[in-house]
Amino acid sequence: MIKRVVVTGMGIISPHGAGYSENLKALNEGRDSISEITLFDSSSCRGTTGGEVRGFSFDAHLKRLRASRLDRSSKLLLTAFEEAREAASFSTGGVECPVLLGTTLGGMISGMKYHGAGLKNGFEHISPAPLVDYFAHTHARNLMNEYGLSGESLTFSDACASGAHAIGRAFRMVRSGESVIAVAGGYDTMCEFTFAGFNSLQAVTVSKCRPFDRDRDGLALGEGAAIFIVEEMEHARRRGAVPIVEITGYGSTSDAYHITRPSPDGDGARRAMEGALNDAGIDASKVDYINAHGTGTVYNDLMEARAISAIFKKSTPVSSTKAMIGHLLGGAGAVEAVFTIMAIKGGFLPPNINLRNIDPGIDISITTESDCRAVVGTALSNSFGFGGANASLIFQDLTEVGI
Amino acid sequence: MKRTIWITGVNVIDDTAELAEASQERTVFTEEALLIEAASLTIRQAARSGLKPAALAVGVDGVVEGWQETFFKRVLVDGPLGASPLEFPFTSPNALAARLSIRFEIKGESLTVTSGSLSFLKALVHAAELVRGGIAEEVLVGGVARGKVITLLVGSGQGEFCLEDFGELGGAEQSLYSIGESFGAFTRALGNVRSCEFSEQPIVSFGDSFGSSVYFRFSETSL
Repeated sequence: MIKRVVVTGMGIISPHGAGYSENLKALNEGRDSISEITLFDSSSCRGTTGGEVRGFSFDAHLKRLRASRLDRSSKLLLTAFEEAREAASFSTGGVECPVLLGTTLGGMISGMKYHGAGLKNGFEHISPAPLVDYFAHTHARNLMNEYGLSGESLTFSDACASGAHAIGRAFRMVRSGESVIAVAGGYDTMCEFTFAGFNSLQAVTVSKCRPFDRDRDGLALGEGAAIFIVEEMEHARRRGAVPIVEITGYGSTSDAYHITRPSPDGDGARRAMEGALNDAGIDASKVDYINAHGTGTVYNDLMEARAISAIFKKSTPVSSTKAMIGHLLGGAGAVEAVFTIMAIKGGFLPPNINLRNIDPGIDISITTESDCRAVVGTALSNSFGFGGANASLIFQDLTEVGI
Repeated sequence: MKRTIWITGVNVIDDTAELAEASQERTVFTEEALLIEAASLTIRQAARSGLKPAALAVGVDGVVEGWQETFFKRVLVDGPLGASPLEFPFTSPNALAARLSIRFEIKGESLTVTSGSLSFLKALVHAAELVRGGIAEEVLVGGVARGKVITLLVGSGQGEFCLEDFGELGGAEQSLYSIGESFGAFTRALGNVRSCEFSEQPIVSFGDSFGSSVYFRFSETSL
């Protein structure tokens, strides 16, 4: 029997700050949290700005892990999880609960330290310890060890769709009855290597990230994490947890087109959105807001707008929140899913900041003003990644689905 | 009613193999070529039974870190401008799944699992879930280690082995320390199924050093 799937807790840390309240405020007012990079020297790159989590001090009282050994990605992840766990009143010790996470980089900062030290001192003379945190799956295991969770741990690395895939898989697990509760989300850090890579592809903005703008010239990278407690509705009610929204649809496709460039006709993106709508059993007209992938690159935004136009009526409000916080890669799908839920719960449309002149080839309704009040009962979040990995998620307000 | 899940076209190849298909491809890394070669074999074998993959699940471990090392070294030595735009996409583990989706025009779901030594086996479990849930009829599954790959097809159409049951299990019979080991352990388990006559096939379970584990119960078909 198909089960209904709700979110009972969320945790977020992004360039907007740590915690739901801070992010909600910044999202609604359209705060620009992109600034000059301080974590490494980007001065020789095409662009020098990004979305860093500023002033982040990891002061959690860890029971099993040693904070000094952890990669920044684990620290972001544990911070987001603690907020989600508390919000969901989720007692973790000894509980069997699958943990599904998405990341593109894993602990690449640890990898960078290891390789840097190896090149300087010779690999035979350095400690292999950073290698442990370098591996992507270590961070899920860190979380499970610290909180005493047992059960499946699954790490997806599907570039920028990783976080959305993790949430989508958790949604399916709970809906099919495979599990009554799951932890899902995504994370990634700002890393010099990745910045250099995007710089080499000339994909980094030299000015401001301007999704859907005529003069857009690239993306701003960012970092952060978001975690969801995904739960079967009756299970949540039995244990007294309060459902926040229902997850009703997940669509996932592949472009089969190019290793970095999306299919220009938006075919893969369109099929992902249609898949999510079919999965939710709703018509496109039901969607009140679309949180676009909207990277601010020439190729993505045109492709995505075409895909949206092919399915939704022109008046459907769309915005990309990446101009505010940057592209969080493996964390993007999860953080933007939180933003999408904030739109539902807060009754507003997040603004697509920095848009001056809409691209004449784009024919969708972009929301630009801050504090734009609206009733959002159903919202869709898009995540499209390198290699043509596409994922769309649909969230619905509980009143919308009669709960 | 529970769907029957089948496995067919299991191919393991390593870097000593002669690459008939992949030699005609422009590839950046050895394992990329190996994966294309093995997938070609699997897809050709499946096509004989009229099967065609609509989705992808690839388990990757170790190999991408090696590619990243190549990329890192240039950046560490020459600074950000040393980054190669040709190598950079391959620092993302899903580049391999992307190559397969492009080469074989697989447009359904495509997922890359990076879960250590169990990555391939977890990708297989995920693929079986896709088939059981009716999300895809046939899923191409791959596993990639340094210098070695495995591919097979999981689906609802008739195959060589029936996957009677699968999932997570506390405790495991065999401990795997690398993804490459899992290819051999998995094919040996299939070989045992073929060579033995059991009234009910035993469960084969594999675990990693973190205490995570997966299990499978197979039976051979009359094909």
